[in-house]
Amino acid sequence: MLNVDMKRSHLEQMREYRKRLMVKPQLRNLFLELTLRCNERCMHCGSHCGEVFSEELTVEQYRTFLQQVKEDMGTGGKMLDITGGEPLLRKEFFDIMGAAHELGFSWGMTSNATLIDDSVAKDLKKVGIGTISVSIDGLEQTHDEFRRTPGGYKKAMEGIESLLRCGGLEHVQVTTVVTHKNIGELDELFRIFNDMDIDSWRVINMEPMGRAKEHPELILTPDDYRTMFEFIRNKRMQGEPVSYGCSHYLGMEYEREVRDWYYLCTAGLYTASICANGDIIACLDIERRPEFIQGNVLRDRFSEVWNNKFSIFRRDLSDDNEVCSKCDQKDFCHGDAYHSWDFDNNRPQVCFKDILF
Amino acid sequence: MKKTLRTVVTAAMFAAANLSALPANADEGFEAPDLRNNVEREIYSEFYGAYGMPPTENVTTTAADFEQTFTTMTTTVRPQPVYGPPPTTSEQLDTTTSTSQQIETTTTTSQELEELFTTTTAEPVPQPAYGPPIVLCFGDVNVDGDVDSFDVLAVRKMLLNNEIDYRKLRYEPYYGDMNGDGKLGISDLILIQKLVLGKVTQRELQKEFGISYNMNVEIEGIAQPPADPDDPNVTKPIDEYDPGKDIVVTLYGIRPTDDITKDMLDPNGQEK
Repeated sequence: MLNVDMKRSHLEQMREYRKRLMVKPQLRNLFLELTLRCNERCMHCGSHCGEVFSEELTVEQYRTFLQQVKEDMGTGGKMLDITGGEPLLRKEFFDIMGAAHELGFSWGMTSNATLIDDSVAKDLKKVGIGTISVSIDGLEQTHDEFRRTPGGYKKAMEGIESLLRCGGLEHVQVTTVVTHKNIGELDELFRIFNDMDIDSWRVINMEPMGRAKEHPELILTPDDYRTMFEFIRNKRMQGEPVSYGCSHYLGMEYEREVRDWYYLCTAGLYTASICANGDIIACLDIERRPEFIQGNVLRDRFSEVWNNKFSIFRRDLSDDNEVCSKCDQKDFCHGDAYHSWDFDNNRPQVCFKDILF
Repeated sequence: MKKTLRTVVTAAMFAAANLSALPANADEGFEAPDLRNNVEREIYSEFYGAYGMPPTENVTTTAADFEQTFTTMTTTVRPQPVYGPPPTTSEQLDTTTSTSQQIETTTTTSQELEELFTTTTAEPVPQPAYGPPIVLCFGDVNVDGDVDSFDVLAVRKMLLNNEIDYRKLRYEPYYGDMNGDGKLGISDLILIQKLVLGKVTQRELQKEFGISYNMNVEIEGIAQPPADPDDPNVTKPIDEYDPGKDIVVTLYGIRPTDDITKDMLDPNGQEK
């Protein structure tokens, strides 16, 4: 365990830093949800993606929007994070990303990689892809069941191999959503990924949102959480590029030990997102409620929205809950991640107090 | 997976922290007990019913003692063939019996027997002549069936924060009492680490310390050493911590390339 006093000191500095960000936010991550359509039906999908109707922006609308962002805010220090649905289902995918590349944006994407072969990998390289995060949610049978896609595991692994074979990416990451069912497969998954030339493995827990709420049996138990974090920490102690995601405050025991940074929910501070229909929100994982829509790129200038709205995200959620407001960790947790807050009952749905600390 | 400078530095950071978590004189307080001391006798006394009485005094054995005490007998038993009548040609056996003082040796040789014999070599798990058998859960503090780095972490956690009832977490401190002194302490942590690293085996440890499951093992907490700015073992940040620099992480925890980082930060590492 790292020095607790050092961590506390850093977290206190992070608290002050967050206060400054709330006054002067800095856009760094701009998520683009290209489509809600997906060729998989994941049990944990936070957006209910699948065979759904998806209102989508055109290539020209994206080009105009990105041009405005470049004019008003520049492209330096910003990264476009392309997601969906499965973004490669967009027929105009390479046109949209080609336009972003021409404008000088750096970009990365998340994908299930089932549609990636050598040809697609080369095309991705041509339009300037920098990073990719591919979902592998267990061993073959578990992955296919969890994502309700027969053959999905094999296709995804072939897609990763194509990406590695064609090269040119700065970072190829595998992401695994850990559930109560697949947590026993972590060791075997590590052996598989360790033999691959990927850059990192992101291990995250299933979040109680979207379609996952229909499968409470898959949510991790307190013991599962402890097992998962011990697993990640153990690998990192061995110098392996394994990391937890950005979600959740983990307490003094695990903060900074299972990831390379301290907890900070960047929604509205570093992060903004454009929904498939052009709505401007903070983070795509946050529950889609009308009051969270800050504007729409078809009628609003993004920079003005970013600078003048988003106040709903630039505050501490812990102030809304009596228990949280009295918690001794609230200065570091701030009510935890926006995406896991229960806005109907004003309480966090995921809190690691009494589980990890 | 690719190990990078960043991951190596992370591992080094943990290693440095682990070192600083241990008192500097941890090794000095650890002394292997005498194999013939009272502790050993007490442990063995609990098992002598099954394995015989332990020695009650220091044992000194010479070759002459053996000759006077032991009788060695080597006997070859002739097997029965599977088919056909049993052999009755005892006269074909060349049997030599010699007796010297109390030592009796019987040697049997026969060309015919060599053809009939099937030699089976089985190597039984060697058990100590007295004392408990080898117990494989020795060191398995988190009771997951393996003795691995998770057990090291579990012991370290218990030592650093010994006020929690770890049995509720399904940890079993008494499996971590490697030296059988009734306490879970630094010396036990060192022994488990050696075991996990393969520097010692369970057999060697058990031979050295015996085994004793004291359900009421006392956890010896470690007091955090006072921060000493001159102590090289105390981890401290080299540079002033800058949260803005620290969380220059964009897509899903992937740190941006140097070009993007330069766009975010000035040459001094401060945010633009």
